[in-house]
Formats: sequence, C-alpha cells, structure tokens
Amino acid sequence: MIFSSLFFIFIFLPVTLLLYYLVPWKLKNFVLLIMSLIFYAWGEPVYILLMMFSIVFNYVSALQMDAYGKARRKRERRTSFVVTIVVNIAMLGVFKYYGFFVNNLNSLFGSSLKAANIALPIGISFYTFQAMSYIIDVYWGNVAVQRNLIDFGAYITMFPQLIAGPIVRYKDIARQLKHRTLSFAGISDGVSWFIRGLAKKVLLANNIGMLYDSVFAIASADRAALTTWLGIIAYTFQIYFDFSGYSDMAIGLGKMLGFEFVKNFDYPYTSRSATEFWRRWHISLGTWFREYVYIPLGGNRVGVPKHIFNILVVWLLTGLWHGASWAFVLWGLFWAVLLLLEKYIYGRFLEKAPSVIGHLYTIFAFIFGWLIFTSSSVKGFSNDLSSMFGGLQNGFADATTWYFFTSNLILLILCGFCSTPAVWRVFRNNARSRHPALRILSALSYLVILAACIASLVNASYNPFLYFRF
Amino acid sequence: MAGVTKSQLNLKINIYRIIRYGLIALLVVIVIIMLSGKKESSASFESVSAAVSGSITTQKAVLNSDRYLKKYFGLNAEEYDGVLIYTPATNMYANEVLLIKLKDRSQADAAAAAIEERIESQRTIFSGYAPDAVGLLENAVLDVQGNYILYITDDQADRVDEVFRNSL
Repeated sequence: MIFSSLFFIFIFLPVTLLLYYLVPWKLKNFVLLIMSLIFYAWGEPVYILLMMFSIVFNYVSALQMDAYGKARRKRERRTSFVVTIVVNIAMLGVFKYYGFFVNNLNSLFGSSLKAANIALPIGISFYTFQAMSYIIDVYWGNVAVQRNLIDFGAYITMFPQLIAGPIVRYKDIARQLKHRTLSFAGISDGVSWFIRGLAKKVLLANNIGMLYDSVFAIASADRAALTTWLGIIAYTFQIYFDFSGYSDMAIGLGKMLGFEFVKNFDYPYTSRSATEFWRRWHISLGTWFREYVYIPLGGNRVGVPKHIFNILVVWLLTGLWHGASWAFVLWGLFWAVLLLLEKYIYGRFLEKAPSVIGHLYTIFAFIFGWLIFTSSSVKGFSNDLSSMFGGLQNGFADATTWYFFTSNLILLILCGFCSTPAVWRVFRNNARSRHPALRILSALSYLVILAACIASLVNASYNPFLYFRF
Repeated sequence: MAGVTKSQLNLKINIYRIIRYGLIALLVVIVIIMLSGKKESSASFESVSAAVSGSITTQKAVLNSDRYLKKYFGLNAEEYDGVLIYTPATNMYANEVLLIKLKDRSQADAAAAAIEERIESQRTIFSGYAPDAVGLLENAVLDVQGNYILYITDDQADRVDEVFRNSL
C-alpha cells in the first residue's frame, strides 16, 4: 500500500485514525501495531514473517543483554550484542545482497553458481536499521530496554515510516512511545505536512518523472547531449520530490498520531557544498551512519589516513545500503571523494568564494551523482556520460530536445522554485498570519492542492515511490 | 538487582537464550527454503528465445527491434543479457510478447514493475472500446523464473509460458 493511493487516503487512513482516536491511550500502540501490520501485509504477505522475526528477535535480544548487564556478565553481554548485530546484518545480506554476491563470485572466478531468485522485502533496509539503532543504544546504555513487546513492535512497524523512512532512531522516539499528546493543532499541522508531501509526489515528482522516462526511453546513442542533460535534471527533481514528499507525508502522519519524527530533508538543492548537501539530504540515514559507524571508527579525531579510511568506509556502506549494485558503490565513493576534497583541498576556497560558485559546483555535483545513481549498471552510466559530454554524434541539441524543453519549461521552473524554502515560507506565513483572510486563503490553498492531487490520482496508473527499492 | 535473585536472573537469561536460538533456527530454515527455490537458469538466451519464438503462432504481434523495449516499457535493452520483443501488429491489437534475460537478479523487480505498468496502461487504453483486448490483458502472463522474465498477452499465453519454462 502506498500513501499516494486513493485506497490509502480514503479508506485505510480514515479507518486507522478513527480507531486510533477512539481507543483509550493504553490501546493506541496496539492499534498502531495491528494497522501497521495490515499496511505492510497488503504488499508483502509473505515477508511480514521476516519483519515479525526482526521484532521478536531484537526485543528478546535486548532483554537478554539487559539481564546479562544486571548479572554483571559483561563478556556474555558483549557476545549477545555481537550475535544480534550479526544476525541483523546477515538477514539484510541474504535478502538484499545474496544475488549480487553470487554473481560477483561467478565473474571473479568464472564459476557458475546459481543464485535463487529472492524478491527484496520492502522496507527491510529501513526497519533493520531501526532495530539495530535500538540494540546499539541499549548496549551503549543510551536508552532503557523496552519491556513491552507491543510498544517495541509499534516502533519497528509504525506504518508512516515503515517502508521508506525516515529512519527513526529508538532514542528519538522512546519517550513518545509512552507519553505523547494529541491536539487539534498537531493534527492539523500533520494534515498540512501530508498534503504538501502528497503534492510533491503526485503533482511534481510524477509529472517531471515522465520527462525523465521519455528522455531515457531513447537509447543513449540516439540522444543529443542536451536531451540527456534535460533527462537527468528531470530525474534530479523527481528523486527529490518523490523521496522528500514521502518523508513529509510520513512526518505528517506521525503528527496525526501524536509523534514527532526528525526532519529528513532541508532543501538540499540550495546547498553550497557537498558537505552541506549531505547535512540536508536524507538526514536520518546520514545521522545513522555518523552515529553508529563514523564516530565509533574515530570520526575525524584521528590522523589523516585513518580519517580518509573512515570516510571511505561510511560512503561505501551508504552506497551499498541503497542497493546491491556496483553503480551504487561508485555513487557512494563519488561522494566520499568530493567530501574528502572539500575537507582537505578546496573547502576553504568554497566557503570564501561568492555563493554562486558554491551553488553551481554543488548543483553539478548532485546532478552527476544522480546520473551514477540512476544507472542500473556501470556500463549504462558510461553510455549516458558519453552522451552528455563526449559522444556528440547526435549534436548538442535537436528537435526532440526543444520539444522536451518547451513542453516542460513551466514544470521545470516550478520544480526549481519548490526546491527552495520560498514557496513553503509563503504557505507557513499565511497559515500563521494575524489576518483571518490570509489564514482562510492558506486553508483554501491546501484544499485546492489536495483536490488537484486526488484528480491526478484518479487518472494515474500505479506509480510507486523510488525509494521503495531500498 | 533490586527484587530479582541471581537464580531468577539466570533463569531469565536461559529462557531468552532458548528463544533466540529457536528464532535463529527458524530464520535459517526460512532462508534455506527460499534459497532452494527458484534458481537461475544456465540456458543460453539464444536457446530460450528460439523456443519461445517457435511457439508464437499469432499474427497479431510482430517481431521487433529491442529499441521498442524503451518505447513500450521504459527499459534499457543494453542493460540486459538478452531481449526478445514482439509488439502489436497494429494499434488495434494488444498482443505482445517480451522475453528478457537479466544480467543481475536484482533487475527482476524493476523489470516486472515496468511490465505491470505497461499492462495497466494498455488496459486503460483498450477499456471502453475493445473488450477482447482487455480480456487478453487481464489474462496476460508475467512469469519471472530466476534470471529470465517472460511477459505475454495472447490467447496462447499459457502454452507459450509452458514452452518457456521447459526451455530453461
């Protein structure tokens, strides 16, 4: 089930909210757990067993670590922790990377091992990382062990962020699992977040995605250079509005249920450096890797060679987290190199240079990054790259380029504007205005946007979120 | 250890240990069952495509260049080990066949999703004026077998699928 579907908006969500609001506080997490399991089972009837395994295994493992701690059996507590992390990673490894691993073994050694065809369980990367954040924080003593299986199950399965994040760390939400408030202001804020996210997905991402699809429907050898540029710019907007739209909807749904999730995007395309970009893009994943991998490795409080090693490890893992493909590894390493160059070579220059230079550099960096990211193979990437820069056998631009450009110009400008805080600032200021007319205008504009989204969904074919594949 | 004796604590630890071992054993069993499931085929694309082509009898779909994979399904032919595509002979027909040999098993989901999207969009186009075509699309076969995918919309779909499976 996806948020941007009529079934979710008109049936699942109202029924869930009605049940959730009607039951007493004691039962709210139970309702949330049951509805989240239904939400997940809708698309993954078999793999729900895997998620239930994850819940029970991590719940019991934390209790065991806690008991070892109380019995002062440090070594066994550590072993229990290591085994739990290994099982989590192994589960992710088998279901996400097994085929990739076998294929690479075959390429390396010329063997002909056969890989079973296992479909990737939706959301496995997200909920496994959430479970591991809990286990690590319990082991480090940052949070108390959760003794209530319903509360822990609700944390892992919570449907707003279950299948595409944000990755909510247990320590950020532990208190809210027991004590949270529901207010009219909070719920209405949640509704506006949800509508904004829905608009990003349905009105912007889906439409600009059609430009990307049309461009990349032409074989790279037949594309003019500027056409490929237009296509990858369209993808740049699509992935931002698709993923940040999902995150906004998740945050909005969380607010409707009384939860406050961490922000996952902060206008990343307005960044002036790669370092800043990664402080603003998929914040919850960056935070996870920083806290549970980068800092334990020593972070930047080590010598230069070790720091370079730490950055490379974190970005190799970040690339692999996105999928079992060498293109993702290349993408992670591309960002690692940029971050290291900024840290050791030209970071200071970027800071002092006119902001336009920083913006242009970062725009070029993330567009190039998405070109790697969207390639399903290294060969596909090199073909597209050649079409953008080298292989100008079809010229710089042709009639197709101008057709795509003129027919999408307004949408491209709109996407550009909506990538900055300016548009949402107008909405926010109107909603908070002292003038009743502006507040009414704000409410009306949300209604119009919602109506436009629904009208668009009625005619749309199935269009899942890009980040479901992770 | 407020309120909990050492023996109670040890009992708890043992219970947790048994549950954890049990769960890990269960996971291993699930994984073994799944891994012993559908395997990749080592049959060459030439042999599978020859078998599939040989079983296609309809005149309502014609063999076409793999560039049509982009046009109809939004997929890059160059990213696969092999592509065989039959497109509708005219706009009035919905009959089509697609055989793909994947380079990497991880491509299966995206390819299957693109095919499902194509079926859905064809159904939308034909609904309202061509009930026969809609019927064919509703019975379309999408068969993912390890590193091969077959999609066919045709009244002989099941027969072609059987030939496809036997050729792997």
